Amino acid sequence: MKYASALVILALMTISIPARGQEMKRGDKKWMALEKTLEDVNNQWLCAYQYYKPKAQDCVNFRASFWPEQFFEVGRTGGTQTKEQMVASQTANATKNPDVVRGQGPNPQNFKLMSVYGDIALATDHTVFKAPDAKGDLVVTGEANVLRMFERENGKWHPAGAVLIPAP
Amino acid sequence: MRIRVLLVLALVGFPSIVAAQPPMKKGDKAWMELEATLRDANLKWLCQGKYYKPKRQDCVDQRAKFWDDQFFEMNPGASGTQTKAQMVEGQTAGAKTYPDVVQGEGPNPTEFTLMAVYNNGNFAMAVDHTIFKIRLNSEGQPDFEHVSPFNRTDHWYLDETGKLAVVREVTYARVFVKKNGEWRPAVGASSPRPPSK
Repeated sequence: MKYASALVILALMTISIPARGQEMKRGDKKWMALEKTLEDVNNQWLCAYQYYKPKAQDCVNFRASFWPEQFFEVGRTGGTQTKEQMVASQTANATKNPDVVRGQGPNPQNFKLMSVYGDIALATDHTVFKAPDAKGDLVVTGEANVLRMFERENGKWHPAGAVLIPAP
Repeated sequence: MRIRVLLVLALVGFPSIVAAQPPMKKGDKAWMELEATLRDANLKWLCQGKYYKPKRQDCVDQRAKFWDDQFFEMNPGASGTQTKAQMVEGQTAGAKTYPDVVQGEGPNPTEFTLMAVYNNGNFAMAVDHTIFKIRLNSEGQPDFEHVSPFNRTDHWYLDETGKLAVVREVTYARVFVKKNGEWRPAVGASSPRPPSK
């Protein structure tokens, strides 16, 4: 009986090892599936496309729950902000400008998965920033090439950080 | 028999126990030690300080071994996003045109800060303030003739030694992966920042 219990524990432990050891290769089926999953996570993060939220604060609140505690971002002028600082500055901005036109803000394009390390994935995109002009028409206000970092926790992918590099 | 079963159990269970190490917390002893380790790995990556190499190609060769196979880098300007192979190729071409490096020339990382640790302590994200320096010519001006075109600028100032010109400053995200007990660069991404002077 004791040996039987030990063998059950042994079996449970060995199951977790191959799960951690799974590796995918660039361009294979698993890689493409993960790229698609992360592109969707990226759109959620930015409240873009189907994740559009008409109230800016709703997007800030969503991000605050979606980002892990260690999240950070390097902005287009080289400033680094922690999650707490990002939420504070975005909340201040949402108080001043509460309404969001569909398509306003960051619009990520050309999402590309670059590397995978277990529960960490690194990707890039080209993000186009848009805002309404005096007539209310959306215009491009800036563009950036962005490093998007993701981490998987309890089976779910979350944004872990970003670096925004201004693009001409 | 019982001892054999327990022995097998211990051997198989060891990786699970190692993987389940408690996470370190920002500012605690383990965090500070890792930050110091990665600060050193960052200097190695950039061939600075004790890792200075007078011949540019020696640094390129070292990076080719040190960077993880999935390594890539993102920078402002024409270079954009480059894979490890593209980086090595570009830097090798640069080393042929500009083979010699003065001590302190090139990227100088300061204010290295560990920002996040994941994957049971095997993946780390940091940022630094990287200052790009170049040598002076005989007139005491930046020697733009002997450095990469990326470092040519109208705005520059002398560094604290007075022997090198600071021509560019960026915030650099430095991301590392631990493989076989060694921390290696996994990605670098830089965003320009206004000159300090």
